[in-house]
Order: sequence, then C-alpha cells, then structure tokens
Amino acid sequence: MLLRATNVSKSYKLGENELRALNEVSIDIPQQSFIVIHGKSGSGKSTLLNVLSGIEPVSSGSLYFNDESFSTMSERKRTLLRRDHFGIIFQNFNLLPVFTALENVCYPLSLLGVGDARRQGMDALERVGLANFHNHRPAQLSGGQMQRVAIARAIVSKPDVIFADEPTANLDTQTSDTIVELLAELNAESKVTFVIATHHDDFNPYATERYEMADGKMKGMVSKEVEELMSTERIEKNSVLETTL
Amino acid sequence: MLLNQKMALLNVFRNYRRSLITLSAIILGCTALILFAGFINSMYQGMRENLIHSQLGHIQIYAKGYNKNSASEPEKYLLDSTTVSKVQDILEADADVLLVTERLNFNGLISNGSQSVAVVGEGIVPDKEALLSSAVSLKQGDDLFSDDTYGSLVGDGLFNGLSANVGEYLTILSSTADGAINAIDVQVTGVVSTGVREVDARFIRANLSLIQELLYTDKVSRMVVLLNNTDDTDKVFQKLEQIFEEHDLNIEMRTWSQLAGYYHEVVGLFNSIFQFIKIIVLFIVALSIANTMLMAVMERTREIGTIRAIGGTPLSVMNLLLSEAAIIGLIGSTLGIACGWFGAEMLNHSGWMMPTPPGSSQSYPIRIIIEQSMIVETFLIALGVAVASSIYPAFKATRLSVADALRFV
Ligand SMILES: Nc1ncnc2c1ncn2[C@@H]1O[C@H](COP(=O)(O)OP(=O)(O)OP(=O)(O)O)[C@@H](O)[C@H]1O
Ligand SMILES: [Mg+2]
Repeated sequence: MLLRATNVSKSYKLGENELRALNEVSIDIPQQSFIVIHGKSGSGKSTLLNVLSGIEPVSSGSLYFNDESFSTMSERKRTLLRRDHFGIIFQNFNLLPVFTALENVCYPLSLLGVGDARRQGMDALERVGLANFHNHRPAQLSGGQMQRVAIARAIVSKPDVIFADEPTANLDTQTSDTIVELLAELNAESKVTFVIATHHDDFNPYATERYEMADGKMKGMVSKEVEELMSTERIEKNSVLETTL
Repeated sequence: MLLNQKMALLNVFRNYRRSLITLSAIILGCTALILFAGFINSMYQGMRENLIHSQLGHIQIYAKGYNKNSASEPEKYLLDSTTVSKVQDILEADADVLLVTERLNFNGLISNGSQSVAVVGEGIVPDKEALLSSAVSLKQGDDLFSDDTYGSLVGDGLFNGLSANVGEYLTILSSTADGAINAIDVQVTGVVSTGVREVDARFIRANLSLIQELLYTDKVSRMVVLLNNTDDTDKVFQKLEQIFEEHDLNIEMRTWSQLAGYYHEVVGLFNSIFQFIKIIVLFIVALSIANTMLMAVMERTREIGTIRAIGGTPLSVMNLLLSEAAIIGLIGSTLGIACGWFGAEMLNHSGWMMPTPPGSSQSYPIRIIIEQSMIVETFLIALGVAVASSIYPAFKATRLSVADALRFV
C-alpha cells in the first residue's frame, strides 16, 4: 500500500476541553488512486489531509508511506518526506507573491537542490496550459490561473501523492470544472495518486474511492467498482436524494 | 538555493517603507561610527604629531642608563662628542632620517631680579631644532638663531609669569656637571608655545653652546631623530639598534611612543569611550532590525507555512530570513559608510574650529581622518549586527506550526 493510516486520532486542546478532530480513522490509499473525501464543514477533512501529508503530527495511531511508518518521525523528517514524495495544493492557492509563475513552480525543485530547474518548470507550466504566463506574478493571474500554477508547482517534482484540500472551493463553477478535469487527467497520465477533500460532487466521476467523514470519523467508503455495480441505481438514488432535499 | 536568495531580495523591496526605516537605522549607525572613529583618529594623529614635532621627535638616543638614572644624576649619563659625531654619521647616511639634532637638558631657576621661577630648559641647535620643532609656535619676538649667543626662547606661560618683555635679560641658575652652582644671563629673543600649557609654564630654550657653558660640559643629554614618516618609526628603530650594536656604541634609544605615556593614556580613555558609544549605537540598530524582522515574520506567516508545507526545512526558512537581513545589512552598511565618508569630507572642508583640547593651548580646525581598517571594521560589524539581530525572529519563524501558519490570515 502506498499510504496507510490505521486508527489515527488527532485532538486539539481548547482550554480545558479536548476536541477530537480525528477519531480512530483508518484509510488505505493504493498507488494511482484518486481518493475523494467528502464531509460537512468541521467533519475533519482538512485535519485528515494534514495528518496524511505529515504537516501535522498525530495524537495516536500509525501512518505508513510505502510500508514505512512516519507517524513518529520528527518534524524535520516529515518535512523531507513532503519535499521528496508529496505535492500539496491549497484551497487559497498559496503562491509566493514575490515570485513569478515560473519561479513559484521551480521553487520545490530548488528545495530539492536541482540546479537548473527552468526547463522542468516550463514543462510543468506547459502541462497546465500556462507557459505564456510564466513571467506573471500571482497578483496578475486569475484565480483559476493561480490554481493551475499551484498544480504545476505540485507536479513539478514528480511526487507520489498529491494532496488537495478543497482545490476548487474558491473558484467559479466553470473554472472549477477545468481544474477537476486537469487533476483527473494528471492522475490518468502519470502514476501520481490524488487525495482530495471537497464539498463538491464534481470529482466523483473520477474517484477510484470516495469517503465520507462526519465528526472526525470515517463514515463510509464507496469504491469505483461498487459504484459501477450500483450505477444503474445511481440515477434513482440521486433523484431520491433530490426529492428529499 | 538561489531562489531563496532571490526571494529574500524581493522581500526587501516588497515592503520598502519598512525596509527604509531599518536601512536608515543602519545608515545612521554606520555614519555615526565612521565619523566618530575618524574624529578620534585625527585627534590621536594631531596629538601624536604635535608631540613628535614639539618635543619628542621620532626616536631619541641617550647614553646607556640615561632613562633609568637621569632623574637622580643626569650629569653622569651624557653623550660625549665622539659618540655624538659617530651617531650623526650613521644617521645622516640613512634615507629614512630627515634630521638629527642634539639637546642638553637642565633644571634650574630663572630670575628677573625680583622673582624666581623653576624652569626645565634645554640647549638646542637652533637651525635644526626649528625644523624639528615645527609645532612650537612663535607668539612674540623673533626666532632663535645660532648667532644669538645669549638669546633664548621662553614659554608663554613662563613669560607671563615673570611679566617679562622681549629683549629683557634674565638670569638662569643651575648646577654644573660637577655639582657647582653656575649662572648665566640670557636675553628673551622670542615667546613660544608648545601647545601644552604645563610645558609652556616652565619652558626655556637657548643655544646649546650657552647651556654647555652653564653646565660646564661639552656633552649633550640626547640626540633627537626626526624621520620622514611616523609609520616608519619601529622599522627604523630596529634597523638602528642593529647598526649601533655593530659599531659597539654605548647608547640606548627610545621611540616617541615609549616616551609618550600621556598620549597612550588619552588614547586608552578615548578608546573605551568609543567602545561604549559603539555598543549603544549597535544595540539601537539591532533592536530596530529585530523589530522589523519580527513584523516581517508575522506578516508572512502563511507564506512561511506554505514553504514549510511544500518541503522547505526550518533551515531553509532561516536561510531565507537571514539572507534578507544580510541584504539589508549590506545595503545599509555600504550606504552608511558612503554617508560617513561624505560627512567627513564636508566637515573637513567646513573649517569648523574645535574647542581647545584639555591641557592644550591651541585650537584646531575639525578634521576627520578615515582609514581603510575603520571602513572594513564598520562594514563587517554592521553586517554582523544585521544578521545576528535577525536570528531570534528567524528562529521564531522556524518554530511556527505549519498547520497553524497555513490557517493564518
Ligand atoms: N488548530 C486547531 N485547533 C483547534 N481546533 C481545530 C484546529 N484545527 C481544526 N480544528 C477543529 O477540528 C475540527 C475539524 O476541522 P477541519 O478543518 O479538519 O474540518 P473540515 O472538514 O476541513 O471543515 P471545512 O469543510 O470547513 O474545511 C473542527 O471542529 C475544527 O474546529
Ligand atoms: Mg477544511
């Protein structure tokens, strides 16, 4: 298994009380999967992604990347794990404002010590269709363009897993669709695995597995196979849902 | 990690108003330090050259034992005329030596008939002494020449103390080399000032031959050597020591520096004052930089979170922020030194007069002498302070929780 979490919990101290953002969550993420995680606001999606990507330490439970445990790794080691194997896409893009698009894309490579990163950076920008904008600063780009630069930044170092926390939440529907398609294409054409937290249903058609979270717990999983089996019922199910709403 | 340095550079210009405030702190600090260092340097140089050109020369030569015993029995440690001429020959052949002259020192009383004052006098060779003692200025009357057999130059303090007039005769009383009391009459040819008030109150100079007559000797107390360049003193001293040893001369030498105890005390005092001021200035600069960097870290919390999230180590965050500080330090200290230099030029051309220094009787126009070592030192110190004072803010940045930093708005 590429990435695995077993009985992972994460709690935050809020004064006297303890808030369990993650409660005994387990998840297996195979290579080249396209994982979509749903859940209401506050259900723990972001926390799960932060824990899976090593941004936050866990309170208990174990995490494995390629069967190697990283739940007890030091901050520094987890940073290097992210640098070497993970890509991250944020809801609010988080480009570095002083850098041009190309410099933003090349930055992870410079962290890796790649000397001449320009070629690779341009390739990545080309892939997201923004080669012509390589000299633009984030402030000179639209939201959708910024997110595409951020995607180029995430893929440039050829990571094993890309984590995306609500990558389309700050975009209009149309732009959002192009981002969804781009991520799905990247998943299909390279071996990169995606773990996406989202409110939207747009990712569902491409999901290999879909999870539902509630109150810090993993409530349910629907794999593609199961979904395909159920595909005939799906239309009915959706219409039932719609009528109940 | 060139992109990190580029980001640091861009970040400096990003909030340029804040960078300007920090820059001006560094510039002001550097300017102040350079000007002050240049000012005390010129003061030291003035004091030094004044001492050398009014009393000490660069090197003095005595009979062996003079410095140890001259206080109790000066008459026993005098240079005889054969030694003097040998030394003279050696020195005159030396290209570093500008001139050499003899002096015969004495203590005694001077009297105008109604009043007697203790004097510290010397017999000199007027033509040579005039060149050596260029810092001794004539206040009244005429200079002394070798044909003024009974002429003398009197310190202005002494002159006023005796209410003497130019042209008046005074009587000098002293003991001869073999212990008898002797007296001679001298005429006041001119009134001079050495620049040191204590000296001027007891100072008298007359022709060497007259003083030799007074002390009943043909010897001299010392030979005073003036070099072309003060910086060569130690080099020439060592060279002469060797030559004199080869010639088996029974003499000893002192450099101006060894004779200038008061000078070293003043230098020591001013240096410690300067150190104190330096620390205060640098402390203020450091506070200003630390404050700016803390604000920068706060403002960029989310960016720092992003860098950390996509794989930047705490070290590369540190590198980023310290590079930024180094760039500010580099620009600031360069401009600060340039401003200091410019300020020094302005002051040197202003013709402002300095207040009369303590113990001195002359005032000088302000001068600021900047040396290369000061520039290098100021530059390195300012750069070092800029980086050092950013270590704590940068360290704080590396300790941010990545998740919290990403949530920061
Ligand atoms: N640093 C923190 N300190 C305290 N509580 C936190 C912290 N981070 C998250 N939480 C809490 O943990 C719970 C899960 O938060 P999380 O951000 O994972 O939810 P989410 O599913 O991503 O929500 P949304 O859809 O709004 O992004 C919430 O109740 C949140 O308030
Ligand atoms: Mg969230």
